[in-house]
Amino acid sequence: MNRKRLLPLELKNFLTGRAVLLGLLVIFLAGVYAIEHGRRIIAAQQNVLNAAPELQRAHFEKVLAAHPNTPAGAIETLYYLNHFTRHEPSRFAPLSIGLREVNPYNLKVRMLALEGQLYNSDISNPATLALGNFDLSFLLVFLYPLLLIAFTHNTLSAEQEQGTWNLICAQPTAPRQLLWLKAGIRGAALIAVWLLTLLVSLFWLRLPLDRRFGFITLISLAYLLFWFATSLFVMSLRRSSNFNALALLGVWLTLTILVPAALNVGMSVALPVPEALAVTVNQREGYHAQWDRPKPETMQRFFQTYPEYASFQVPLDKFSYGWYYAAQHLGDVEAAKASAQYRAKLRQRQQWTRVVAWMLPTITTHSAFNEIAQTELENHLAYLDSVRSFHEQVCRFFYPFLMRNDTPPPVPWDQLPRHRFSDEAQKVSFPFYSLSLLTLSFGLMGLAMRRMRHRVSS
Amino acid sequence: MTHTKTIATNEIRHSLRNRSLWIACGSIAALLLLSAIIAQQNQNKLNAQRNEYQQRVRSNWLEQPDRHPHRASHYGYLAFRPKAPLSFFDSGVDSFTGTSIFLEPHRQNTANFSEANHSGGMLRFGEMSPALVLQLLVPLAIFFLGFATITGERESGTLPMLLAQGVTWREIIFGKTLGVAVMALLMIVPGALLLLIGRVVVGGTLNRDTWLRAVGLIVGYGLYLLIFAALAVLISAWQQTSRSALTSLILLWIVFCVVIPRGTQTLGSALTPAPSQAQFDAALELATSRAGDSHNPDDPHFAALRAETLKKYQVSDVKDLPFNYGAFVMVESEKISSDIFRRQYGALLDTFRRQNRFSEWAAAINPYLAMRTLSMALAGSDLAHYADFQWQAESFRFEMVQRLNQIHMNEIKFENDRNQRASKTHWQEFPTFIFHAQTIGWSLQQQWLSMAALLGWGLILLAAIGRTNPRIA
Repeated sequence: MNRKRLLPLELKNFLTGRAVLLGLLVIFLAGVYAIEHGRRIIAAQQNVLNAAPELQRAHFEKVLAAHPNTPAGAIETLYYLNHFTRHEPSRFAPLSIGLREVNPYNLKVRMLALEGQLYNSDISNPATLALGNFDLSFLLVFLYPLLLIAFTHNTLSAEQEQGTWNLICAQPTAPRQLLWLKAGIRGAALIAVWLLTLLVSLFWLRLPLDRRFGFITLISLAYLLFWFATSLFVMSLRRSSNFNALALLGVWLTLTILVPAALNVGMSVALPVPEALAVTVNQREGYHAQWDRPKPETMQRFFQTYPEYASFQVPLDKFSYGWYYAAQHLGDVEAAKASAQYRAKLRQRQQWTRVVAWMLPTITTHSAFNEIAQTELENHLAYLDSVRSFHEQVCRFFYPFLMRNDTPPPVPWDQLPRHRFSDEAQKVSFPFYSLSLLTLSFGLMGLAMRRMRHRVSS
Repeated sequence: MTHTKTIATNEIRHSLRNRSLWIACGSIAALLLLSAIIAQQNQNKLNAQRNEYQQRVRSNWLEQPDRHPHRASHYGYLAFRPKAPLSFFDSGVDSFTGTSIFLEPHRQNTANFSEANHSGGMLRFGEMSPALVLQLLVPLAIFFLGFATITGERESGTLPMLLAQGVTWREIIFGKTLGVAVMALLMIVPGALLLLIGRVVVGGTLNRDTWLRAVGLIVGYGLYLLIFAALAVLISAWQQTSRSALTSLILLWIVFCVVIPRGTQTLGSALTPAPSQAQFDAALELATSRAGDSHNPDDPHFAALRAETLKKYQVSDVKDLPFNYGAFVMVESEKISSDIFRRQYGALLDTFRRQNRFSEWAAAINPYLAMRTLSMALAGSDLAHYADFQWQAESFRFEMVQRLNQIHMNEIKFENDRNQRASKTHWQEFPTFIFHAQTIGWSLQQQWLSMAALLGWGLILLAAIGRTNPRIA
C-alpha cells in the first residue's frame, strides 16, 4: 500500500477512537475556557483603569471643595490629593496573565515620601494566586504535553503488544514510514486543535495579527514539537507502553514541576530580599527624624537634591508646608540606597529566570508568553520606575508654590503633570527563545529518527 | 487475616525486586528530604530577617525623643508576620500574602511585600516543599506501584490459583492495598525520621501544639496515601489489562491534581467576584465619611458629640474641658474608622472564603483538594492564618493609637496643641508586637469539610473493596 492510501485510513483509525475525540474536544473546550478566563481578568482590570479618570476628577473636586479657594487653601489640599497612575494591559495579556494579578497596576501617589506608597499589593485572593491562573499559557505548558503523551506514547509499543507489529513488518511499506505516519497524525491532530484555539483567541480577544501573534504561534508550535520529539525519542527505545508512559510522565514532572519549583526555592534562598523590609523602615526613620531636627538642617539637606530652590526662603521658626514636604523628601533620600538595592535584586531575579528560560522548554515557553503579553516582573519594574518619575514631576510642579515665605501665586491646575507609561521599550528575547526551542526540538527529533532507523529495521 | 498478611508481604517483596521502582521510590525519598532541608533553610532565613527588623522597629520606637503623642502615632509601628513553625513543610498561600504591615493612625494598611511581589514569573510553577512531594508525587508513585497488582495476577493466570487456595477476594484486595501502602510509607519514613531528628537536634524543642500539628499531618497524610493505594488496587481490579489500568490511573491523577484544582478555584473566583482595590478603597472612604467626618466642623455626628460632652461637663467651650478635646475627637473617629475597616475587611475575607468554598466542596470528589486544604491549615499557612495576622495587627494598631490619644488627651493642652511634647518615658509603656500563634483546635475549626471528605473517601473505598466482585479472566 502506498502512503497516499494509508493516510486516510490511519486518520480514520485514529479519529474514530472515542477517547481520542473526547480528549481533543475537552482540551479545545478547556482552551476556550482559558481564553474567556483571561479575558475576564484583564477586562476587570481594564474597567478599573477606565473608571480611573472620572474617579480622579471627582476626588480632586471633593478635596478642592473642602478647602478655601485661595492659593493657601490650594497648598493645604496637596496632602490629600491622590495622583493616579496606570499600567495598561497589553492586548495579549489575557493569553498569559503572568504577574499582572500579583502586582498593582493602578497605584495612586500622594506628594508624601514615595517609598511608602509603591509596594502595596492589590486585593486578590491568595488561595487563587497560589494555585495559579487557568490561562492559555498554562494550558499549553502543562496540559497539552500530557495529552500529547497520552496520544503518542504507545504508537509503536501498542502494535507490538497487540501482536500486529509483525503483520506490519510483513507489508511492502517500510514499517518506519507507517510509524511516522501514525505518530504524525496523532501529533498533528493535537497541533490542529491548538491552532484552532489560537484562532479562537485571535477573534474572541480581537488580537492584532502582527509579529507578536506570529511569535506566539511559532513558540507554541516549537514547544509542542519538543514534546512530540521527546515522545518519538522514548518510542525509539522500543520499550513497553507502560515504560513509555512512565518515562514521559517523569520528563513532564521534571520539566513542569520539579525543576521550576526547586529553582524557585533556590532563588529565594540565593537571592533574599531583606532590602524590602529596609526600605520601609529607613523611609519612616528618615522622614520622622526631621521633626526632631532644627528646620534649617532639614532644608539644607533638601537643597542638596534641589539646589534650584535654595534661593527661596522657607519660614524656619514655625511649621510650613515647604519644610513639611522637604522632610517627606528626606524620607525617600534615607531609603534611596535600600530601594536601589531592592530594585537591583529584583532585576537579578528576573535575570535568573531568563537564564533558566534558556535551559527548560517549559519556562522558555512560559517566559516567551509573558514577555509578549508584557506581564513579567520586568514590566512591573518599568511601571514602578515611571511612577517614580511621575511622583518627581508632581513634586517639582508644586515645590515652587511651597518653597517660599510669601503668598504663592494661584496653582494652574490644568497644567498638572499626567502619568504616562507604555511598555514599548522592553528587552525582547522571545525571538531567540523561539529559535532555541526550535533548534532543541528539531535536534531531538533528528536524534529520535536516527535511533529509529537503527532500531526499526526497514 | 493471615492471608491478607501473606499477600501484603508478597506484594512488598515483589515490589522490592523491581529495580526501576527502587529508583523511582529512592528519588522521591531523596526529594522529600532535600525539599524539607531547602524549605527549612528558607524559612529560617525569612524568620531571621523579620525578627531582626521587628527588633529594630522596637528599639527605634524606644529611642524616640520627647514627642507630641500624635507625632509618635504617625511615626507608627511595623508588624512583621513570623512564618509558622511547620510552614516550611507546606508553604500554603504564604508566598502570596504580605509579610509586614505599617501601623498608623486614621488608616488601616494591609500587609505588603509578598514573596510573589519579588519573584519572577517562575513562581507560577509552584514551590518545592515536602507537601508538594507528598501531595503530587507520592500518589503518582503509588499508582505505578499498584496499577498491575491485580491485572498482573490476572494476566499471568495466577489469580484463579489464589482463589482456589481458599483466599477470599476481599483478602487479596486488602493485602495488595496494604502492600502498596507499606511501600509508600517506606518512601516517606526515612525522610520524615531524618527530618524529625534534625528538627529536634538542631532546631531545639518543639512546643506541644507543633507536635500535635505534626501528628495531625502524619495521620492526614497516612490516610491520604491509603486512599490512593486503595484507588490503585481497585482500579487494577476493575480493569481488564495492566495497560488500561495504568492509563486510567494516570488520567485520574491528571484530573485530580492538575485540572480540578485550578478549574474549581478560577470558577469560584469568577462566580463570587471580589472588589478591586479601587472599589474597596472607595467603599471604605464612603462609609467613613457617612459615619462622621471629624475634620468637618458641621458634621452632625461630631457636632452631637460636642454638644453632649459640653453638657456632661457643664462648660460652654471645649477649651474649658478637663481634657484635650482635639484628642477626644480623635479617639472617637479612630473607633469609627476601625469599626468600618473591620466590617469591610471582614466582608472581603468572607468573599475570599466563599471563593475557596468552591474548591473545598470539590474535595468531596477529589482527595487531593481535601488534603491540600487540611495540610495548609495544619501547617499554619492558609488564608485563615493570614487573616488572623491581619486582625492581630489591627488590634495592636488600635490599642497603640488609642493609648497615644489618651496621653494626648491628658497631657497635651488644647491650646497651642502642636507645640507641646509628651515625655519619652511614655514609650516604654507600649508593648511590642508579638504575634500569637493559634492552637491546632482553632486551625481545624474550618476544616470539617476537608476532614470529612478524607474520612468519607476512606470509608467509601473500604466499602468498595468489600463489594468488588472478582473478575477472574
